[in-house]
Amino acid sequence: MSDRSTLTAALEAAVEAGDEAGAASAASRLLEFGAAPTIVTGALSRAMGRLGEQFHRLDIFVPDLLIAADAFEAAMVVVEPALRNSPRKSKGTIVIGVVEGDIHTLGKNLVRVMLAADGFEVYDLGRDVKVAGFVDAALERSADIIAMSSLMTTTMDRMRDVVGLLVSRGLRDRVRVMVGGAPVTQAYADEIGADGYGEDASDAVAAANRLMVMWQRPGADHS
Amino acid sequence: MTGLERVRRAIRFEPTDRVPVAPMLGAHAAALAGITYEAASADPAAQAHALLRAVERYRPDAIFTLMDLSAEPEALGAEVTVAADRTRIVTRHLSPEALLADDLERVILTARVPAFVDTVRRLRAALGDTVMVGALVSGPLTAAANAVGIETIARMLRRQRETLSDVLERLTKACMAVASAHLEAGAHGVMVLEPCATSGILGPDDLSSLLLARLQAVAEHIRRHDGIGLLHICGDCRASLPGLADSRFDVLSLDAPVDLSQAREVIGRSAALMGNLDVRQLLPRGEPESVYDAAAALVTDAGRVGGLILSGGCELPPETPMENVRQMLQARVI
Repeated sequence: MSDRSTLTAALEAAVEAGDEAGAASAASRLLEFGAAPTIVTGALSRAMGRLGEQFHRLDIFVPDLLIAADAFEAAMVVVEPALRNSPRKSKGTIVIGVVEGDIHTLGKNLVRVMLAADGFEVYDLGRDVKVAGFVDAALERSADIIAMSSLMTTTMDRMRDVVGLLVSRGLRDRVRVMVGGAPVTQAYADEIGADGYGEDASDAVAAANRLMVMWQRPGADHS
Repeated sequence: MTGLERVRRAIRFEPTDRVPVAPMLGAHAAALAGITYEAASADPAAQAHALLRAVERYRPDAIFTLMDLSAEPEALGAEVTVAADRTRIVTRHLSPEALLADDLERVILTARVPAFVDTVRRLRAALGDTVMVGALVSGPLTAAANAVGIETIARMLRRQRETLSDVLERLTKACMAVASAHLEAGAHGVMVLEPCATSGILGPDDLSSLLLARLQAVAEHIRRHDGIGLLHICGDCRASLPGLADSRFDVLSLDAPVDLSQAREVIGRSAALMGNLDVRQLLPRGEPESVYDAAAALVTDAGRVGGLILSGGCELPPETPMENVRQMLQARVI
């Protein structure tokens, strides 16, 4: 096995073990060996993809996925300067956040990392995001998708308000909406007119991919 | 047969005239009474008034205090803020080290926790032994997660297990102190809330190695005080059911993703089951006929072998239509 393939395997193993230092080191050494940044992101994507499937099957649990996400982000810090010089092709642009009144960020953070690992350009708006904040950010970033999370039944209707604001501002055809979080269901997503729903982080990535395949915004260019 | 007798017999798998029904009505009851969550979660007179009106309206077999997972964290020192919708949320977490203090058993009985104890006292004074009076208490893991943040706890599960174990040990004793206060105030039962022990967050191995012995200790503590012990887990906890069967609680309250008939097969007669109509969609937004059908199916299927307390999978959302609550209660007579 070449040094590069050994390091690629080491990077994937480090991410899957939640080893931040190991992941950053393997990513750094891969770049030193002349690997293209996309080799590094490809390895990261494969590792996170496998973890997402294991999480979906309940073979691993939130703590495992969370420390893997930490390792993923540690490696991304290393590779991002190189990516700026040779940008990778993005699957699409997503603005993501937790709705107004809700500060539970765990699910949103996991989805953010899984989406980024899968090749989306993700802008994290954080928690307690106002209704207009989602719409303004989507416009500013020319986002394809607004992704919203809520953990509380008392705040989930802010998702409906975001869809309503998109309609009232004449933007509903320009951006897709996907939703998730403990109290949110597919039926609720349908009821408020959202385009996609994710039962968990892995499912959210699949939903985002479906939305990008099913809907190509006129004039969009993700190259 | 009183509601309390019905619940007690169901727990012992003895025949009852009908399946006991015990929806967690706290937030819904407050909304019906025109009381904000903010007021109900701080004012025992207001909370008890709302719950007693709900008892009059629906005639459940048990009534539980309002579900407020911020009460214990606030007492422990976390910052809690009233949100725009008048609910209370933790807005600044503690460091895990703050939960290693020696006096948590005293500290946890401060802030708004006494308001909930006083609510129990008022409910018991008004209801006597006709209806089971149940207090809701944050379990050790959930109190930790809400006090220091679930992400911190999730990372500690993999990186600082020893410290987390120490934190859980102290919070187990604190949880027992809160349970004791409620039982001394007249609660017939204490429901320990462990929504964070759901399978997605806490795997079966973590449950067994870090939490189960602590839950057993809390369950035995409640039993020693002649209380009914109930353990509530949110979400899909199917992977953890074998472990939960050993929790020693009288009742396992499970959420809608778990099939109660399948749960019964896994746990045998180790505990009565409580639940588990869907509170995300069915109860707040479903048609009354659908609620009745789902409740009737639970009574006939999961209730076939006894040991069933019909309820929602979690606390009912405040906006749940009254007719849907009534339909749930009517299905018990099948």
